[in-house]
Amino acid sequence: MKRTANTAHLILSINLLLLTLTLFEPIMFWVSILVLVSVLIRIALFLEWHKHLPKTSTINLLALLSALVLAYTGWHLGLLLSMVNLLVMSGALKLMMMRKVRDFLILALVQIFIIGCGFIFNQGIFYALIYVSQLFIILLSLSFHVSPSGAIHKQSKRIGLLMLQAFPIAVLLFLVLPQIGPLWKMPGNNGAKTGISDTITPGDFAQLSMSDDLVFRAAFESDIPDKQALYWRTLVYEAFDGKSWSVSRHRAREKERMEAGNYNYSPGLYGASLQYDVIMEPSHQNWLYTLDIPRSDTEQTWFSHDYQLQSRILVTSKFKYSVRSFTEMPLNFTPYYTDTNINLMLPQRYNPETQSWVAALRARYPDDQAFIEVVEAFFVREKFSYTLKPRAMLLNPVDEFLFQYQAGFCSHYASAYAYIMRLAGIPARLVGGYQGGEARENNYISVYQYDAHAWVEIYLPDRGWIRKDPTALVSPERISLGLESAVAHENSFLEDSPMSLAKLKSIAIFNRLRLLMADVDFFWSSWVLGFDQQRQFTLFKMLAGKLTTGRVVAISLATLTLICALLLLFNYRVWLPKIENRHLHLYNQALKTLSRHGLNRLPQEGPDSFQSRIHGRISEQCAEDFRHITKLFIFHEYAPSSETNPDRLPELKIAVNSFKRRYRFSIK
Amino acid sequence: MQTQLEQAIEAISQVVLGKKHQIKLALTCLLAKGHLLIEDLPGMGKTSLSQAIASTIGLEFNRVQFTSDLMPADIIGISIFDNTSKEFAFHKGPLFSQMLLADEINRASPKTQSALLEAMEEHQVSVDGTTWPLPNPFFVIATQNPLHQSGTYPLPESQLDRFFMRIQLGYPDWQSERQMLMELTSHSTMPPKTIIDTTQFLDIQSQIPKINTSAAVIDYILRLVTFSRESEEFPNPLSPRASKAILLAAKAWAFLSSRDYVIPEDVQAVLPSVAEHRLRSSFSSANAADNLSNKLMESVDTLAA
Repeated sequence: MKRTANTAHLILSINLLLLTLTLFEPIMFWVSILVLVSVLIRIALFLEWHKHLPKTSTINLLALLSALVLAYTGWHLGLLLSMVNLLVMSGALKLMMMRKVRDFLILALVQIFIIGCGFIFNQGIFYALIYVSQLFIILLSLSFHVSPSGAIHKQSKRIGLLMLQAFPIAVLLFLVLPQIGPLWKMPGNNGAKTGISDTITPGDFAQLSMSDDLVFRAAFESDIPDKQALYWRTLVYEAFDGKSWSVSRHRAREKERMEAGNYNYSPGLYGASLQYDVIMEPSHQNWLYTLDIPRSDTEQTWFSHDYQLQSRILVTSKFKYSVRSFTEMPLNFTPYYTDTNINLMLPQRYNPETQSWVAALRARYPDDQAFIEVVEAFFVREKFSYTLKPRAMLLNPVDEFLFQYQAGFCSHYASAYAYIMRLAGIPARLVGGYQGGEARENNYISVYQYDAHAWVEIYLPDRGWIRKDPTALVSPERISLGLESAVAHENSFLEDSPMSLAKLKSIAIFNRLRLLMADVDFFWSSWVLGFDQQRQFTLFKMLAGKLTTGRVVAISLATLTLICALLLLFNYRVWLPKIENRHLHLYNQALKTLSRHGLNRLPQEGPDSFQSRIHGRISEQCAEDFRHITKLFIFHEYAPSSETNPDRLPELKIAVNSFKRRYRFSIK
Repeated sequence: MQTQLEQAIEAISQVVLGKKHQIKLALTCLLAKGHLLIEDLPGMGKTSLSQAIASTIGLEFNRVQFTSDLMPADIIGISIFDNTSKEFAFHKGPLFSQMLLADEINRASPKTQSALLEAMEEHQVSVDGTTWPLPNPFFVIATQNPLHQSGTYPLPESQLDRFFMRIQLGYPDWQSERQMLMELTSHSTMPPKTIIDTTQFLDIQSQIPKINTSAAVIDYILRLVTFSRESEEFPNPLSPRASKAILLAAKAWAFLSSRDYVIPEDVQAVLPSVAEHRLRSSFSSANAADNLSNKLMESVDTLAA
């Protein structure tokens, strides 16, 4: 008894370890070690290497020490991470001293709660599958606790069946229960981890390019436009201090005012447009990704004068918004003083060489258009090259880049270009975002961190803001084919993540696998994770038309009824008289078929005698079939079960069912 | 082994023609280590059957004709004072054989009957304080005239119960009797050869309990027994000893039918022989047409409800 009871404990222990592994990111290393140790203790107990649990006083001391360490480290971790660590830590400590039934049940519940916590950090479909299997393991452990002697395959079957039965109910509840927004949000301090930062110092983007994390997916209603046209505007940088570009303080203040006043910039847009939905990964920022010029009716979004669509709150979980972009509209709606003013501001320090070079050039080409052409020709003419491993340019970055090294990536080019324009008196700013993406045939596109890009917008009074991409001048393949082709010559693509599937693009099967995973994840994101209040209302409207209180009540009642019906369906056997001998039940069914034709077994007749009595009175085929049924029945009922005589209930079932069908009307 | 048993049955039925079922039942009884009572009119082949069985199985065979003046000592043996050794020496009677044919057992006095039945039960006899074991195997085949015949002491129920089985031979059919008469004119009938020797037979006997009986069969037997106890039609309900005997006989029958498990048909085949003499009271037994075991079988379903 003791030993089998341990099976349940062992399963639960190992599951705690697995759970910890899935949470390797939020969980601190020493907590994982604690878990490992407690699981080892459990394994030692199970294998009877050791007979006793650790002393309670030892564990109390350990708990005290762990709590102190956690309290110390938790200061930096923030509330959520400390709490998750605390949970896992106490789970491990409880495991060390698990003795009573109550301990076991508590630990099972705690593990289920940890699974819930796991969804805070990972919501992808693969994690969902992992967590479902973990839930399965916990339930299996409980099942072993209830009936310790059952074989593992039988227990698994039972739990699997229960979970399958629970699935439709879960789906129903998911669809019907109110999808309230999160009551509590994760404190977001992860901004540095993802996306573009609000400062560009040429060099930053190299970090970005090395990551193959998904940024967002966009599903187009029509075909996906050319890659060259896909400039996903994310952030506009209008302040330059000679080294780095950042969001202008003026602009930020203006935006704050607008947001506070609930003022939405809404230019009149017309002409050709693209309709698409974007599902973005949590960025812990409020910027959104759009093509110019966007208009969105999704709640929580607002549009500002720098043509940037923003979320009113930080995006801490997957967020879906739909956008219509008017691609042919010029960006000339903002003849504001701010625009031209802040985009001509220049730092006096740094880059003297560039300053004098531009001054000389501008003197020769006073016309804006001519000047731009000359500058672009300069980029094309000089031996500029695209690289992800540029030299450090510290003192006068633009000088060193333009005249010394002449090698860099998008932010170097964009920064230099915009600086030149400003020096020449043309308002210019940097736009950060993503360029291109990976298109899939079903009209959606996946954009990864390595698609990050920076380009320039200059303001010409008669045309508004015009996009200029100096990188394209130097390395056209970066724009038309993507980063990977642009840096193919130096093998620096995803150099730092050797395990990345994206690196295996050239191997067809891996690429197909990667794309398939992307498809699955897209489906998961858009239909499960993206199922929010709005979608729920759409669904209800589709089902019930206009939403009135009565109808909502009706939907709720219908759902409840449906759930009750499902539960009834799963458990109807409980109310039916129990069939103790299924073989006999089946045999009797065959007898019933025969008795329809006046062939009744006398009570004193054994199966074999009955079979031989009716032999001549029915058709040969029927007699043969019934003989087979009788044989199977006799084997089960009277012969000892052994290897040579296994239980052949399924065979009997098939035989009886086909017998019933075949001889319902005629046996002659 | 089954083939040898079949050969034995074949050989015996050359002697007792047209009685294969009864021969099989008799062998069943011997395989189940039980004693056999053959009840029939004189001249129906009771003695021939016993002799044929004894010789095919290679058993040492003694025959005692029971009469009203037969004393227990006549079958058990007596102690006689030996003049040379100055001691009483025990002279074993005809009981000390592997197979004893007790002809017309109901003609002997109850005293003699019970002496025999005691020996049957105990497999040993005690004379003057000394216990003498009987040989192994030890079978008694007793024959009995129908009770309505004169000069009979009917066996009491308690002693009938000692017989594992009771069979009736009945008249042979036309064909068999014709063949018998034809053969009688052509040549004298010789006792059949030994087909199974005694050690083999003991070996077979030891295998009978190993025959499998499923819960379904045991439940069937229990239903039969219980019905006999609950119904008023049965003056003598079946005892636990009877249910044991039914099960054992069914096992032996299954073995003879080359099966290693018992089916209800096996129970039914042996039930009339095993149960009839236990069900019937001594006094109602005159009415032989009223077959109680058949009534019992008809009242009980072979399959569980």
